[in-house]
Amino acid sequence: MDLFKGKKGKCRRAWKKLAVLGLVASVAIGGMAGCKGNREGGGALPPAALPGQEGPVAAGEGQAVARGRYVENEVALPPGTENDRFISLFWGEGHQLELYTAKVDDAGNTAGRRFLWDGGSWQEDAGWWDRVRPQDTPLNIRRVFYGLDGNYYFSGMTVEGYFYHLYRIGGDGQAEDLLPQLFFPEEGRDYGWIPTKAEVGKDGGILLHGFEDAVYYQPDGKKMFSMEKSWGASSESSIGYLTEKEFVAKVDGGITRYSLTDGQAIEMIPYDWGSNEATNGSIVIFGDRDGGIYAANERGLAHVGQGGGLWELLIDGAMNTMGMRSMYLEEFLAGEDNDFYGIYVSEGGRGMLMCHYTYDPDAIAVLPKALTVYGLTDNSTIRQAAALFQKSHPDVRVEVLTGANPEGGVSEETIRALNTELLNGKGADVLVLDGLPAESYEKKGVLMDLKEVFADIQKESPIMGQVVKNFTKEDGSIYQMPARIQLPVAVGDPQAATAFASLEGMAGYQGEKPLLRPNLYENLLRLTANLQYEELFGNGDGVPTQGLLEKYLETVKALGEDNGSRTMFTQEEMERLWVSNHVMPDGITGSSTEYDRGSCACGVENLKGMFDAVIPVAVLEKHPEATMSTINGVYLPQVRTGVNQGTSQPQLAKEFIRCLFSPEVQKEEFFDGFPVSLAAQQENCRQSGKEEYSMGSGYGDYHISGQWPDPEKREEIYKMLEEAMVPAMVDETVMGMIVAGSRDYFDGKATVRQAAEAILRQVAIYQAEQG
Amino acid sequence: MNTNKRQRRQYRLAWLFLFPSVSGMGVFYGLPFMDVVRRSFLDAMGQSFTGLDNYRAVWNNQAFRLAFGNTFRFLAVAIPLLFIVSLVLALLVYRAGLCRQWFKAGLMLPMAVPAAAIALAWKILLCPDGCLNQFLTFLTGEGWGRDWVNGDTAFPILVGTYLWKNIGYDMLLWLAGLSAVPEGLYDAAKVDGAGVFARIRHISLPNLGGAMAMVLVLSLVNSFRVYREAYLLAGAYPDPSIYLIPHLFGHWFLNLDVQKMCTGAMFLLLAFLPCFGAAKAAAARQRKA
Repeated sequence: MDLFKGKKGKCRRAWKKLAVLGLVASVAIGGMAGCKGNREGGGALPPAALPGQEGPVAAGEGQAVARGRYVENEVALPPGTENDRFISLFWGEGHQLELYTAKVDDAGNTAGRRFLWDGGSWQEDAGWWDRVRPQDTPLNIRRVFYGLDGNYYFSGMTVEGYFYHLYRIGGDGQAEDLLPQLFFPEEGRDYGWIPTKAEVGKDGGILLHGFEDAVYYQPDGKKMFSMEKSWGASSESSIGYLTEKEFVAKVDGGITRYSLTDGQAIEMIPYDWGSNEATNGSIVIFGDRDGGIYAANERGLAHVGQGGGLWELLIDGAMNTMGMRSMYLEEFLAGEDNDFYGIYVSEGGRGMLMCHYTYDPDAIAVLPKALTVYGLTDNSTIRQAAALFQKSHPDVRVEVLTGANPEGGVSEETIRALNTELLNGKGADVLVLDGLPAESYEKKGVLMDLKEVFADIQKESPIMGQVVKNFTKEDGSIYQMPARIQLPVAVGDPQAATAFASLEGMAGYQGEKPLLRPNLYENLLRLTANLQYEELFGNGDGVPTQGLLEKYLETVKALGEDNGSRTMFTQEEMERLWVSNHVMPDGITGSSTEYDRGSCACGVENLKGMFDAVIPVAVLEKHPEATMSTINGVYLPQVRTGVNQGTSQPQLAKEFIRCLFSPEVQKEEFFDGFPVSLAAQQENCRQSGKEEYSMGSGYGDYHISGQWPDPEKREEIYKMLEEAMVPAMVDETVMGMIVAGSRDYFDGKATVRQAAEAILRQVAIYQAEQG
Repeated sequence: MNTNKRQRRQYRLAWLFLFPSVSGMGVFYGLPFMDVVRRSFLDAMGQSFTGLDNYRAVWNNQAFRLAFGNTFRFLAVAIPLLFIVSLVLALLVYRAGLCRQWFKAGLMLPMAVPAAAIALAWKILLCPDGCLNQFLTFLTGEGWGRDWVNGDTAFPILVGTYLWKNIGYDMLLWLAGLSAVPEGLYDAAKVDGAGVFARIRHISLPNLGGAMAMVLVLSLVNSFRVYREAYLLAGAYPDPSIYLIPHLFGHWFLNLDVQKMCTGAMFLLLAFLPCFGAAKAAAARQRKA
């Protein structure tokens, strides 16, 4: 019996051992299999194949390569339309592609032009506008479309009074004014309703898009219902389209289908690919024949099927014009053979570009090389460079990565994550160093020396000499270079402007009016730190001495007491003084209009491009005695870019830097600063085509508007860039300590000495950490 | 011979069972620790050997000295305080009778509150326009606008935050220890005429050896987490009196000064090793006794 028990026990132990061994073996094998690299995919998902097809897989150089993707080809536009404004592109009667443009005369009035695509070229329908336009009402054409009821429609604004009109083109070619009563101003108002877009349904019902909703009317003008939608990127576009039974519109967080029977939402499909500051969340949406939805924006063209919820990326915007920030996507259409047409315009609606997207089964789906560009925040100059670099390097995929969260915020965790990658010898190939510890990266050897690259650039197409000098180390090495610069200028009384020469001058200014407008003390601190950068931080230590810090705080307090600044404004003060509690990183809140209003002796503006000069120039025109001048030669470097020393493709990264500083990229205006390329500056100075731009600014009863600066003024402004010698790069950590430590002083709860000591105690720790 | 064979088999079995946890410890703690040691002798990017330069630089670094001193000062003040106050509270709660559950729940509550919420509450209480200043203004009739988390009061506030947060947890550990002491011992002592303090001194404390070691280790571990409260209360650069090692390490990592961070960690290890050694020796002595 005992013997039997013993055998049974041994047997059980043996089974247990076997089970344990089996388990260990399975875990080990599973682990090894899990660790095996995905050699075929290379870690990246190939773009989706054409719906209904599978992308063939071809062998190339001994390795399987996924093939098949959409490629972009430019379509020649009708000759003579170079200066025209884009109006519409759609499939018209007989499913023929129709393009409408507008010729703009010197007075700014527009006349429509119609072109028909015959499969190989555009044929103009000469005299179309003269035939259809209302003879009795001078009109500027706005949009043309082909209704689902088989009629042509166009909308326009009257030259006199700026009233909206919607017309149907009858069979006899005559325009019939539709629902005029809707668009006339109500009593006591100067302007009537201006829909952002109009569409006509199968039954002749008219859908008029507003900013926040679209209203459906019966053909006789009876209002049926309204449907919620989000605002488009501009006043002349709206994100939504009509089908026989539905209205599909972009709403916050998704795209909604509404029933045209009762205006009720049928379905909401989440969509979050569209939001970013630069493009204002602009997308074009349109339908397919099976009830699916296409959405096109700078990310590319995505599709979702009827009843589906997952978006499939058909065209990657990073690989073509869609990703270019200098061109705005105006219209996107599905072709007849799984192809697409896109039309882009540059700023102001001119400079059209039309592209045709066709599926090429032989094109490599996943490009063999990838260049990554990393920055904390999204930047249009970098995006533009990436798009142009992509075009000139068809075998390289440029990925622009940003560290900011979806709300645009940047946390220390983001920088820590980047540092972890850099420490492991990884990280992006190109780094945009704004907001990153660039000096530390330089010292630690994270950044590559780019002196040869910039030597070449200076030979081929030079950038501003003083900028290169400012960012060249004593040993001649160059680790980072700003691709843009912003220029703080003083606008106003030339005598008062001389006060900005020093802290003493600012503190001691005594005029009839305060030197600056009322502001938050934090903004005044930041503004003064930038304008007096050399005096405050130029001692090589990067931190002012106690005496200097006290002088700085006293200067800001003197300025603030003179103009009524606060650490925080109340609602009443904000309304009375026309101020806000918004803190600007550079402290410059744009105050040339305050000089115009007479509330201060000088306004300080931060010019981030020629657009920012429009209002200051208008102020100067109004006040011939006023001047616009640079302040202590200070400029604010932006888009500081360097190359990761650990990059595996240094040549490509260097080529990207060349591309970023080339005139082709530099000449574009993205509101992030002036170009540093001299050729781009000259080109922008000469550039015509923006003369009709105007910009207004106002609050309450005050209003001022200005035009695009004339060539002389533009030249003057670009000449001021030559005076920019001092790159102001205030350490944000030190600035934060100054702001926090001086609050009690400005509130009268501490003396200047106490405030300065408290600040310097913290600064001392910060400096000790670096030691 | 058979005994040796059985012993060997038992060792093998023991190692087999230990293997998952030992390998986990080795991979997730051992290897990174070795990397920390390695990096303390290299430059920031780990490219070149720097000898003892990092050690010299960190030892002479004023920020490190300040943070190191503050951290030890905090440990020296906060841990004994926590140790004593939580024990006293545990003794009171243990004898509290009907209200015992309420006391326990009340003292444990701070453990359930997220650190961010605690920091916000403390800020509302302690900021210049906070409740405490308003209360003092109401009491004294003078305008109080003191920033309690900056200046002389910053350190006591931090210690107070730590005590408030951890006292309930430690009290629970003491209570577990106290409940293991047989009630008969107390009854017998009472019959012999022992008073409350005599019973605590001669029965409770000698029987709380195990709980004591546990409270000490966990208090030490939790003390390093006080950085969260310090950061949320006073920011990345607080008053110099509450500038702790985690503040410094956080900033060094942001600046990619990993070599300094690793060297600082080695100094900390060297400083703590004697403390752990002493604690282990004391525990061994107590086991023997």
